[in-house]
Amino acid sequence: MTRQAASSRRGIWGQIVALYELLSSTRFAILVVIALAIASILGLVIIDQIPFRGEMARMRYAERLDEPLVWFLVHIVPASPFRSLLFRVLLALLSLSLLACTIKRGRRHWREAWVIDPPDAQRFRSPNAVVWQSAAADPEAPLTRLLRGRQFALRRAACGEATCLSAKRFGLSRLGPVLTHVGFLALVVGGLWMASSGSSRMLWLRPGETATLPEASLRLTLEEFQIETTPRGQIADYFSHVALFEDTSLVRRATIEVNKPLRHRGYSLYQTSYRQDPTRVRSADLLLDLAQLLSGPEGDDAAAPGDRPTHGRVETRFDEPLNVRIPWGRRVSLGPAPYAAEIDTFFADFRILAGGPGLASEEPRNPALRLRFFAGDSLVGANWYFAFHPEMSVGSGPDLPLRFISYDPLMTTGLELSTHPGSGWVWAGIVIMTLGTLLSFLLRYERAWLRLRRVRDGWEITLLHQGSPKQAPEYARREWERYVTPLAIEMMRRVEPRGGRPVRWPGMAEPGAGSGAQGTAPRPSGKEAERA
Amino acid sequence: MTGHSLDVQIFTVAFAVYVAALLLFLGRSATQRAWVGWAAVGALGAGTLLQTIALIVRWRLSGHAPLSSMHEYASVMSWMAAGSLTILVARTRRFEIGAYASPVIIAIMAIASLMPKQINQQLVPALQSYWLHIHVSMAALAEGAFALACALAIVYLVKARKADARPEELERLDTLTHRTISVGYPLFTLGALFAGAIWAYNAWGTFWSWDPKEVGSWIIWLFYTGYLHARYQRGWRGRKAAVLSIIGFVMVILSFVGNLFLGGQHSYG
Repeated sequence: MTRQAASSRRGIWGQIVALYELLSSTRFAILVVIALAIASILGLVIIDQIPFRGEMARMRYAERLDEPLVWFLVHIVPASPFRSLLFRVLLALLSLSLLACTIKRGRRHWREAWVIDPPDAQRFRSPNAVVWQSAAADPEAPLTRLLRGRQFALRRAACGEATCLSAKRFGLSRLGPVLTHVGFLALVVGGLWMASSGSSRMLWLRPGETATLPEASLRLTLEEFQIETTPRGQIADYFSHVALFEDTSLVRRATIEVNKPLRHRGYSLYQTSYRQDPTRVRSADLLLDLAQLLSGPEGDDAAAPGDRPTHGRVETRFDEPLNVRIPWGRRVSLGPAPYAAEIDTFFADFRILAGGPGLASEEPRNPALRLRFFAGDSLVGANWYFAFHPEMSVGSGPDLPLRFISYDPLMTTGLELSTHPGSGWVWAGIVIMTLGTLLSFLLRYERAWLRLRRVRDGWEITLLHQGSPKQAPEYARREWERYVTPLAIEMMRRVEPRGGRPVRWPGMAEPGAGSGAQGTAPRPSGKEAERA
Repeated sequence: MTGHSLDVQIFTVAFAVYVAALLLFLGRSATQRAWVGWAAVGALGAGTLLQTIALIVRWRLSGHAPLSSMHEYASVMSWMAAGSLTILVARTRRFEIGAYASPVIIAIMAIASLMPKQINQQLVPALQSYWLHIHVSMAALAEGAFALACALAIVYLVKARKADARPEELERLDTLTHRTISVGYPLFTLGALFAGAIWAYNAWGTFWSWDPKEVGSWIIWLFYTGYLHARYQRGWRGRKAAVLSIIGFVMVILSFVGNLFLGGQHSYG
């Protein structure tokens, strides 16, 4: 290998290492998190509130594309902010940062888990160490029993002439942040996969109707759609009773409701909505004004019922108009009128369009009904009737005093057929992150070192409890009081210090340091020892 | 109070008792008498108890957990903050924390009282799930913890401005703020985000749909994640951490009231 090639390789490797260091740094992670937060706020509060942007703006402002604002809306403002390239790049950067950080942490924890590397003699003399001397013949056994009893995992290591014991408790909690990072990565992978490859479409079905699902090689029949209401008329729940067929054989029968989707071979069917069928009704209710019908077109509508003339067998009906209900698909006789009628067409929102009458929207804004009239079996004509304009009728049919007053809508169920290709990753991410969060916040990792050094007439025992060096002094003090003091006192109760006092205790002045001692070494007896 | 249901009447009394607790805390600050401080703690505890009764009564009247409207959500949030504050002040005997934290609780109560308070006896089908209890209660409790952390951060900043501020007292406040966030953060992660995502998967067919409330929760979560990383990894504490804690809770409030302006699938009244 030439020197130049070696140098080049070092250069590339150096760049990779530098990139790894950058990505795994907390500063970078925090910057990406801030950028993501700002992008999310921008996306939600600003971009999402602009009605026409991206390609929508191109369609809307086709004739004004030269205007700077329109150009900006078309080319710069994303149509869907959370699916935009910028947002995905930020998510990818966060993922890379998490990956690098996870590798860094994982390597460190792995090393710490397997390599016993006792602190040097200097650290055993640090102010945080508890040191006492004892005349006990074998102090190791009772101290080991005590630590094991408190769930510390112990490992022995040689440190010079002394014996060192590494004690760890709840080491699993160190996995917490690693698992949280790994789980988040799985969530991002699953989420992006689902967003790019997942599918979703609405199926609107009438009772008895069958939809073919070619993507799933299935057919879905809506057997019944049911809406439950409270006595006050509020919607309590709604269900779709469906049957799934593969070819002609029934695969399964199920009830789909909100919160209870049907899942079948990677496909999910959700009960998302329902609506009135905009072109069908179960039945229509019409009012036939018998008074006008039987008295002819010039009849006196305003006359009081008692003043109206009587006409043979329909005499008793003159007091009230005749209510006629026409079910969809059935021909109904109109009583005294010499016609029968059937529903030909229904539009929930009638409008005269370019090609004639049509449906303006799916909302019931102008319900209209076209009735066909028959005399015997012959078609005599057809008229339009309007629910919101009951006195109006248009068409070639007979001029009957008929009013369209109401209708029983045909409700159709709205089912969403979805696939979620990355859902496994998302589930894994949720489980792993939950585990990581619980480990991080519920367990408290503790690491301590115990050094047993033989001295002239006994043993010198040093307890070095490693709290986090980054903790605030107040927190470290409280942590010491809460965790270390009881442990150290209990240890000294099991292996009694010579003279009843330790040689060193955090906060206690060094022997021979004069009278300025601030701390007091406790005796392993009394109230505190009892508490411990 | 005529015309309001029983729970709303008890809620209003609890609100008044919280205001009384604040006045007593302020009285304690002015007089430095311990019994006034304990009276304030008692009033705060009584307010919490009354609010607990109000929530139970509402639960019985509606037939479902009081977690389905903005009034109920804010009420649970303030209940969590008030209960935690009572315990905190009683345990630490730092009555001045109560003087600064009570206004935050009263502010949340005020927001709750401004929201429509009528009882929805019939939940919309989407809310008829056991996930309502898990998701909404955990999110409200987490945000209650964030409210308390914000109050503690305010106490920190006020005390840090004084020339005679004792460092150990400031450190204690800083630690308390961090610990409160350490309670709220996992609750928020598991309850608001994960439980919500699983529920959305069952009800709406997608784990995440970038709904305004979801985006708000995502930003809050990112923010507190940044707070914890800045603290653990970069050693941010003291004034910087306190400012972050306050900003975090401002985001919680913005996300809460954002429903009124941005709508979305989480708008349930």
